[in-house]
Amino acid sequence: METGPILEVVDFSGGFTAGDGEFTPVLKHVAFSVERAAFTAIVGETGSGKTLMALSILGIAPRSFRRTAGLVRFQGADLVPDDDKAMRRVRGSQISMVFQDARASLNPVFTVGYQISDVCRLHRHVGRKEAWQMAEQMLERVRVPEPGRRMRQYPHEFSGGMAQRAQLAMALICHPSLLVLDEPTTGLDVTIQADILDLVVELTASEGLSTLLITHDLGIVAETCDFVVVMKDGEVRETGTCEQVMTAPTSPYTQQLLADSRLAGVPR
Amino acid sequence: MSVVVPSLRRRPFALRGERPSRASSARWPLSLKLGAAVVGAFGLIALVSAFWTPYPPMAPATGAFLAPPTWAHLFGTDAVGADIFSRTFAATHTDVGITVAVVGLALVVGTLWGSLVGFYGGWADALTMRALQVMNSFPALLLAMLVISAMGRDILDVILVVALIPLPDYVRLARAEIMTKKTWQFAESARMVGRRPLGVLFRHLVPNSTRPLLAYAGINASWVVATVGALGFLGLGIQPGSAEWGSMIAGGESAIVAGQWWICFFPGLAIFLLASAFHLIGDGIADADINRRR
Amino acid sequence: MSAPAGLVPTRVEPGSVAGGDVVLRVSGLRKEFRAGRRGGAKKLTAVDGVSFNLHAGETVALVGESGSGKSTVARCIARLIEPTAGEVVLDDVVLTSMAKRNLPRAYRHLQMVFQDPNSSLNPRMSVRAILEEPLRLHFDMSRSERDQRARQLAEYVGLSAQHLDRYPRQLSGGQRQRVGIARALAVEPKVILLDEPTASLDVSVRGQILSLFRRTQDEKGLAYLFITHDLEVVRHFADRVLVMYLGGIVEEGPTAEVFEHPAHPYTQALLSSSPVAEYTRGDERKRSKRRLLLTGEIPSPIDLPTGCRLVSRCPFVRPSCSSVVPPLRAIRPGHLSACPVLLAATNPNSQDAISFVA
Repeated sequence: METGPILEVVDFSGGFTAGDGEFTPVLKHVAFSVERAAFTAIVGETGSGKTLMALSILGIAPRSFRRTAGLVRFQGADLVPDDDKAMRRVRGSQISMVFQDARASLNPVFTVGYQISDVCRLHRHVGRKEAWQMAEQMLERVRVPEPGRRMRQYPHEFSGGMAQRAQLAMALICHPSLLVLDEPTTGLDVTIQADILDLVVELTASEGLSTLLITHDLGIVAETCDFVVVMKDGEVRETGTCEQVMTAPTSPYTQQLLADSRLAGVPR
Repeated sequence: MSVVVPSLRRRPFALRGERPSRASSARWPLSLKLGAAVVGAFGLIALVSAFWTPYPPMAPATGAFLAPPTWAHLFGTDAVGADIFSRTFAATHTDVGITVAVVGLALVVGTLWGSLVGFYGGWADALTMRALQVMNSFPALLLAMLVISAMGRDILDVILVVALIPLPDYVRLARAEIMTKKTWQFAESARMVGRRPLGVLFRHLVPNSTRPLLAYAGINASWVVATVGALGFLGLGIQPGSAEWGSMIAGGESAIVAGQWWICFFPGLAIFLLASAFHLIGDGIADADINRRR
Repeated sequence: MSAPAGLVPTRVEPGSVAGGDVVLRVSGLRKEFRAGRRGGAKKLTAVDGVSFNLHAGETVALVGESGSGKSTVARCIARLIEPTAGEVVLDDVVLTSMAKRNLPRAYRHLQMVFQDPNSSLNPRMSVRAILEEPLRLHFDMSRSERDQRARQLAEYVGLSAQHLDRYPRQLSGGQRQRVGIARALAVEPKVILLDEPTASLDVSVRGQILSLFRRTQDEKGLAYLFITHDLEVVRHFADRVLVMYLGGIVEEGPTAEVFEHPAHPYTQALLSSSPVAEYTRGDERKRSKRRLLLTGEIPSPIDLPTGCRLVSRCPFVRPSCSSVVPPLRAIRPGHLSACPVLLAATNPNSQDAISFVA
């Protein structure tokens, strides 16, 4: 019986060590949880540390980053981001991540089909043919038209939105419990963005996925998320349900952010 | 015609939520400092030796012939009794002078040519690329040697011909830099500010392309030092017997067999040190360039 | 152009909604690029016959997604790119037929603020040098006058005197953009082309920059052509909006009217896809329920279909849509749309349109 949040970040602190040994704290006592089968967003501007937090959860933060305190609990058990061997088993199969620039995240010299099925074979020990079929089904699931043809294409033949769907397919093929998306629609046209977000929301509901979305856009948050975590300068300023945070924020920073997003300060 | 300075009301803005990027620490790498120090030392020597050397470089010294290094003659003497120390030092302004002239010429001409064709493109660009391909396909050094031995040994000829060898690389580099930077928005904004195209090119684009060109110049200078030495060794381009490291080495060729190592060694050491120093400078500039880009 | 009765204009201003006299007149602007391999036999039509007027004190927004041609329009107006056809008239000067060498003089009255504050400033020039350059090129000022003016400009846009001696790399994104704005203001132009000036800035800075634009416009009667894909900014900031798709204007009109009664499927799709930072409860929340879906592939700009460019994705498509590119026709005075299907409906109300959603 699975209850409780799927991911808990407890008092997580860390920073960067410069070449000359100087330590700059970047994340300060970050604490939040991601509920099961729900959509949680981490909102912040540049420099808030939101992306770094997401990367740390998966253990893929830059090497100069050092955790000084706190822990991450996944499905009740402690996750040790420093233990790369253990993390490798988790990445892709239990926790998946989708990055911002889809075409840059795909390997240009392999076909899309190969890359998606590769993830499958890595974690599931299935044969090549079976993996290929699973990959194709996944592509169809993420609403890529003509999946059979697309499987054999290379990333540069995909448009931005299409590539992002391919990345989603890659992330979901092993049916992870937690999906992390780092600004997945930045740089995409607004109509494509809407499509992708709709898809993620729908998949969250239908697959019982728990989703963590990193973004700076409060509009996206308002339309898609159930829970919100607001970060600034490496600290969590506010958490709550989407309704609470969007309609009655308690933290002055959140209030400011909302006002700015609605262009409240600009004289009409 | 002056302009009425308009009434701009002062109203300070609160810079809320803005964080400046980390001030760039333009720390020059050690290699650059070291290289610059050595080249500086050579420059100083060149300057001083134009006016004074311990012994006259060309005239035979009294007494000692083929004497090994002693306190009287720090680098020893050669077959005609000249002091190697003085000769090596005197040769500095020849070698350094030729190197600076060659690199300077290739750099200036190459940058000008490359920038112009990179900026304007068109047929001039296509023609240039073909010409460069032709230039690169020749065994340049051999050709240079042929030309110099045919044309005579004027120093000016040597400079011109040797400068021709790395020229295609400078042109290519300048061209590539300008073509890249041309697309950046500050080139467009320079035009909106009111600059004519040539103004945009020489006051905005070129100054932003100096680093890679200077880095290449440093590395190129290292090659030039060695090449000038090689030419001198072969007796091309330099009056035989004049103070030049390469020809000094040639002069001491036979002596080495007899165990008189110092005649070849010190000029050779000078070439090695100067070439390495230039290379360090080039590397240092390249590293600083990369650090800045980050 | 007067506002239709009963409609609250976006900006309450004495005089007409449209502002003063026409300062910029663009007619039939067209830009084709050569595409395809060697020799470029194929044509890429980036801008396909764009026309509009800009009045003093007015902000006209040019809205579209990537590939709409909006940035190309701005660059053609400034002749940073040479238009293939069309005419641009600034005050009484025909920019498009000027000799290229005289263009810098025209830039005294036409300026541009660029999108990327990181690459639009010369990294090797101090802020002071950046601000003084246009002064030096356009005016005959003494050194101290220039210095004073540079200082005034910096303070006007919210920078302090100490920023003058700094270099772009020492400034934040918002500060750099302020420098770009100050530079554009230095020559006191009449028209400023704003090419997505807030796209790369944080929301907290965006509001400040927009306030600065507004203040400057009010004080100097500037005309802005605001190019953006951010509809929220348009709603707040623009008097009129022109919606572009694949090189052509598909709808234009006063901002409030276009936003409340969009009369083109593409505009409707854009409006319904743009996320708004407002929380709505329950079922209504799911955008998919209220969205106008554009399914299908975007056509390649090299191989544009005959007829309306939205044919491959439009939910209202009729056979007649593919025959010829539909022209802009007025629904109401000042509000034009290029969709004959929606125009024909007696009441092009957005609610009816939404009911078409699959």
